[in-house]
Amino acid sequence: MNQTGDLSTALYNPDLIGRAELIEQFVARKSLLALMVDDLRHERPQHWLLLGQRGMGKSTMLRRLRYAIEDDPELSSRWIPLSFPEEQYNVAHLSDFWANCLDALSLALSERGREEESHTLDARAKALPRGDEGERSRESLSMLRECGTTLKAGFILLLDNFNIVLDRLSSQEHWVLRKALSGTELALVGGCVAPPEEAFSHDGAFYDWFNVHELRPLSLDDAREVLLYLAKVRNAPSVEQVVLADRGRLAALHRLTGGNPRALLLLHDLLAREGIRTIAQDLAGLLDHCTPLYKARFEAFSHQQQHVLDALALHWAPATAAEIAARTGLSVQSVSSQLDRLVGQGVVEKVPSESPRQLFQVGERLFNIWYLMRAGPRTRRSILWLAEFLRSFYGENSLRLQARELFTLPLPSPVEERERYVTLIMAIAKVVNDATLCNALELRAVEAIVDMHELRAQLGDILDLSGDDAHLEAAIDRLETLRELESAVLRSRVRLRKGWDPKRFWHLLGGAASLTLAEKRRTVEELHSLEPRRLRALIRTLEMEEGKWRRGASTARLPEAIRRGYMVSANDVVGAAAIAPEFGPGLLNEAFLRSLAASPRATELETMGRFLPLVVDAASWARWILLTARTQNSLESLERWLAVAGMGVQFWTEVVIHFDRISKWTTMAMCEAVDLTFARRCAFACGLLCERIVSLEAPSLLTLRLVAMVRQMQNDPARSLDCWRQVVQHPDATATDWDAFAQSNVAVGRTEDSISSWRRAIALDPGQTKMRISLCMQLCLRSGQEAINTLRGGTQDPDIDLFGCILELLISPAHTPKLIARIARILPEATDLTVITFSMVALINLDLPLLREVSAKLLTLDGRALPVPLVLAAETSMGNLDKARVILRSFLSSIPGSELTQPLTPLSSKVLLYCARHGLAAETSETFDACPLAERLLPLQAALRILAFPARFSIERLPAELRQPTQDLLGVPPDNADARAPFRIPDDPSA
Amino acid sequence: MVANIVGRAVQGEDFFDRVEELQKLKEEGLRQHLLLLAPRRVGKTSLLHRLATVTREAAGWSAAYCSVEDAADEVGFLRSLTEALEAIPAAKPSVKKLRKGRLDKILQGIDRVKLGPLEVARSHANDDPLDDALRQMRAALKDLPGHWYLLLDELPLFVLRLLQLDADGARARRFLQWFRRVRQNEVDSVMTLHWVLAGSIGLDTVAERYALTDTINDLQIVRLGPFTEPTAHAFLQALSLHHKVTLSEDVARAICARVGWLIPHHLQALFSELRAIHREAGCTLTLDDVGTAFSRLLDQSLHFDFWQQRLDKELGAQRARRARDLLGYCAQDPNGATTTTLELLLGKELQDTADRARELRWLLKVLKSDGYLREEGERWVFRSHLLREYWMRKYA
Repeated sequence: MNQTGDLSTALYNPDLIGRAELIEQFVARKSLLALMVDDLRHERPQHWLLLGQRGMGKSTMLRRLRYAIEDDPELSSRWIPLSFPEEQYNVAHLSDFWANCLDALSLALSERGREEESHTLDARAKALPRGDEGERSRESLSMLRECGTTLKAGFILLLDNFNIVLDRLSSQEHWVLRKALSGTELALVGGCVAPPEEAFSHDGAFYDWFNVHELRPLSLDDAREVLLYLAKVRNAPSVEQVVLADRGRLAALHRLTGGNPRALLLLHDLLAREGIRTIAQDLAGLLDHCTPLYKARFEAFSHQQQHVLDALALHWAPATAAEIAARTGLSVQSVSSQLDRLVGQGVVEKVPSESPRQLFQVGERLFNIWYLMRAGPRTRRSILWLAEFLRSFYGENSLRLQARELFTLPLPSPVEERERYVTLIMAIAKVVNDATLCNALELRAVEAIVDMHELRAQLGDILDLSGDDAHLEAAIDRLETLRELESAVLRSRVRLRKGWDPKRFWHLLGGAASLTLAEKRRTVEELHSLEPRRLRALIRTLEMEEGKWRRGASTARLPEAIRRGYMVSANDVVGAAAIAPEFGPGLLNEAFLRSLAASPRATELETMGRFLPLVVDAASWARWILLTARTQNSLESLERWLAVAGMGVQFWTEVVIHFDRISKWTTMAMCEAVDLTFARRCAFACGLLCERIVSLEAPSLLTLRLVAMVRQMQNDPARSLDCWRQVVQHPDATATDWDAFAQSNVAVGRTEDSISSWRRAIALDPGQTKMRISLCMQLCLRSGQEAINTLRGGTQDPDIDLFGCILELLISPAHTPKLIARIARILPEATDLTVITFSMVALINLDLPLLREVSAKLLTLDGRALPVPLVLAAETSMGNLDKARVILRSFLSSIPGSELTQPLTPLSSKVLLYCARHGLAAETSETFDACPLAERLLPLQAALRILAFPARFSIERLPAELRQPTQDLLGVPPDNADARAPFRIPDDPSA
Repeated sequence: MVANIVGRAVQGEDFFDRVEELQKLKEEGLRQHLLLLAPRRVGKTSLLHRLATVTREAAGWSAAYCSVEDAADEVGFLRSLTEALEAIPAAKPSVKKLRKGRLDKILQGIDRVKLGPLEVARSHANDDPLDDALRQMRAALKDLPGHWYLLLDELPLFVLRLLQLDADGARARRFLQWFRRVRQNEVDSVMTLHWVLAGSIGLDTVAERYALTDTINDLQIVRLGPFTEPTAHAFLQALSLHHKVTLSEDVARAICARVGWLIPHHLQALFSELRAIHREAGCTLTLDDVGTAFSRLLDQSLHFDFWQQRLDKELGAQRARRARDLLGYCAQDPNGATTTTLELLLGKELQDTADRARELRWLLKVLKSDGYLREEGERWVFRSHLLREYWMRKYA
């Protein structure tokens, strides 16, 4: 196509396009062309009938075939292609048709430079007999055949709108034509919008006589090729970018055109123009070009089909036959039958649906838009068709971005421009999948209408206030009231002689967030009667309020937003969200925080949630999450808002930290909080935040650590491990990170990975005692000796030394006295809480002495981080029995007997037994009996009773099934004196 | 090598098989004149062309193919026949004689015979020019040297046209009687002209409908059917060889199964779609491709609509509805439906047994003669699988 060419030329007259250009732009349907060219090589080529809607490329295909024949030496020596005008309205009889063939041949000869032959033929054709049709027809055909013999070539008749020719011939002439075409010297390639009756009527001359090929809509890939080609030749890089980068949008464009090449050409031009501001005029202009095409298409249908198509097009959305029947007043059967026919003709398509009833829609959406454009009330109709076009033409993101840009533009002043602006933003509001942006655009449209009385007068034409736009009525009222009040203030006469500035007064009054609209109205009504003193006081109050807002960085523009009617009050989240693109996020943050502080109900929270993605204040997010977690059963909407919010990693990290600070959920998780539902919701919320963080590109090391820890807290070891893996892959990962990674591996039972991770941690920081010990604990699982060897290879650290001794103690009970002595010697120097805790656990488990010393050491360290049972054991062994009793009661009462599957760890059982043996026998047994746990731990209950009340309870008196497990718990007989004897440090054999 | 040609009658190398049918025509044709019957698109014209070709190969034998589809009246008929004979060298002396006579003047329009209500004989007041022309033609035919196969295509169409020109049928009767005399002349003497008549519409049906049977009762009916399955397979393989389209046995079998009624036209049409798919995709054809080609064929064949629209036009609304019911029922099973079942179907509307049987007989006869159904033993089956499939999708 000519780059500077008129679009309509390209759309309707492919004949006017240059040969080279047409060949170059013939991108789709190449395989069909090749098939036809192949057939022409045959001695008796078949006759082809190309069926296709207008714009499907029939004319282009006929022209391309002509060039293919002319450019092929073999074919051009055998065939002379004869081209005809698109419509042969001059055909009344068959002789006219043959005369047209002679004319086309004359033209072909002339184009080949054979002017003389051309002239001779013209002269002979003129001399054809007139009067007797049969004779004239035979003579013309005979002349054509004679020319073929002279030229030693046959003729390919390339007949667009072949049906027009057939319609004008009689049935008898059809048979004559058929006979003429039965020879080898003529081949016909015809193009038709619909199959001519003669070709499908059983009695027709051409019944099943053609090789019929339907030019179907272009496939998505074909459409892509066509658009890319057009973008290249018309130098439209923006189109190329859309086609290459956005397959979804390409698919939408393809749907819009229904795969019609001509419509694709049209859309290309729109795409190339860019910019949404003039899209309505551009589209309307281009669709005007389509009017002849679409009108002809529509008029080609029967009256009933037109009726059905009209209803379907006006419905726009897919509809069932029953719905169309209801709109047309026709029977469902008639509508179904017509819809089937329209589907067969490619005008209507079936839409896949889950409903058992078949849905239909107009296939080429652009045709549907054209139809909408020409029907219904003027402006509202424009909004409708423009909206439907925008939905398909722009991608979701592109539309949103362009809409935001539109919102910030100043309102155009000329009425027509303002009307177009309103039409456009209302159309976008109808299709943009963003409630906030939709509110913003609608508010803007309302302002644009209210501000201009010419538009205000035709409000009913623009908006459907009794239908789709009913929700805008309140905004219209508000804005109109404000305009009225402003006007009244500016006209008012007050009893203030000096310092009265009506503009300034309206500025203050209109922008006062503390006053309702009704209060403002009352104030204006009473203005003229107010005493100067009261008026001054009022002005002062209003000035103070304005000053207050002005001082706040985020609220400085609040008075303006109130005065212009965008916001109803300072905590109008909906209004603030709508103007966020123009006024910034400050007002929304403020409104949000204020609304949250007012203890909103669950439904209000949900409504506020819609605007959460626009809130750029981490504290507001955290607070909303907390309130939602407290008041609602689910936080699913959070997931939705997170998906659309555009903030970065840093922001979400802040939200997590802030949320944890105000919810203390991690503490709750550690303490096995009583309000488990709330804790779970908090964990869920934090989990979602973490998902969001890790889904973003390149979260920082700090953020990753945070996420990993949150997941650890959520008791989600697998995902925590994933996160720690990301952390240690970071080049700045520290020994501590590797330590955490190793611990995560332990949590999922990956011993080997944990060992290698701790080795890596120790390599990064060889002085880390804790990690070395952790490593050894894992090694112990594999081989105790390996662990000990690892320790011996370490430093002369007393903590490591102590850990080594304990380890040996566990592995080699035979060395106990020697090891006990060594432990007693090292213990005062040991500092590591883990090691000491580990020592204590080992001693309790092995039921060995030295516990008092270890306890003393343990209690000097940070006891708050210790598990409660160990503190209980330590206090008991230290003889602090009063304190121990309190801990005992607290410990047993804090364990919810029914909720936990593992009610008590083995260590806790041992501690209870230890307490019972060391001065707390009665208390332990009685407290345990009062605890619901007792019912689930009968052997422990029995053991504690035996220790506390040996006179009443003994192994022998127990039911048979409890005897052995109780004995196992007691281990040594309760009267074993050694177990309760005070411990003395033995002599060190090595000393 | 057989080329993929949809619609056009095939000749030469593109003609495939029909060996038995050809043999039958040759053998039967020696003894009597033949009427070749088959629904449209089965391949009658191609077979006549083939018969002409093989006849000419035998010494002392000639053949002329003449299609009278374009003949508007007796003059047109005579013109077509003259031109067909003119194309054969052996007939040239006879035609030359004919051209010298009155027939040529008529053909040239000099001695025009206006036919129809405004019939005016410009000269030869005491002599019917058409009779004269026909007589001359009869004489010329008699003069043809050696043995001839005269293959007359689309004769019923021409007869119908005569019937349209003259409502009482006298004109058609006169022509058919003349033509019978031409043939009878041969039978009475030594038979050197062997006529084979054919047409898109059965001549027997036309003659029966217009009480003209006596004018064609000398004709021996020969019926042309679809390919057998092995022939259809071989045909498809020949097509695939010519167009370099690899066609596995499975695919060929699937094509046959889909087409059902294995007439060359349907096989060619489906193969044409497969060829297009092959060219688009550029890979070996699969069973799925056969399905796609079949669907495309049905989708593009908007003309199938004609089959149901025609019912309304020809039968009237009430009977068309009954016919649609019958067809819908027959379409549901590839093996069709029994007469008893179909009678029960009509029973909903027609309670009287005799009425019902009569109506069913009449409807089935129409549906059979119009090419919808064929009778297979006790069952009524769709003649074309394509049509059945279409009917299933749309109406069943």
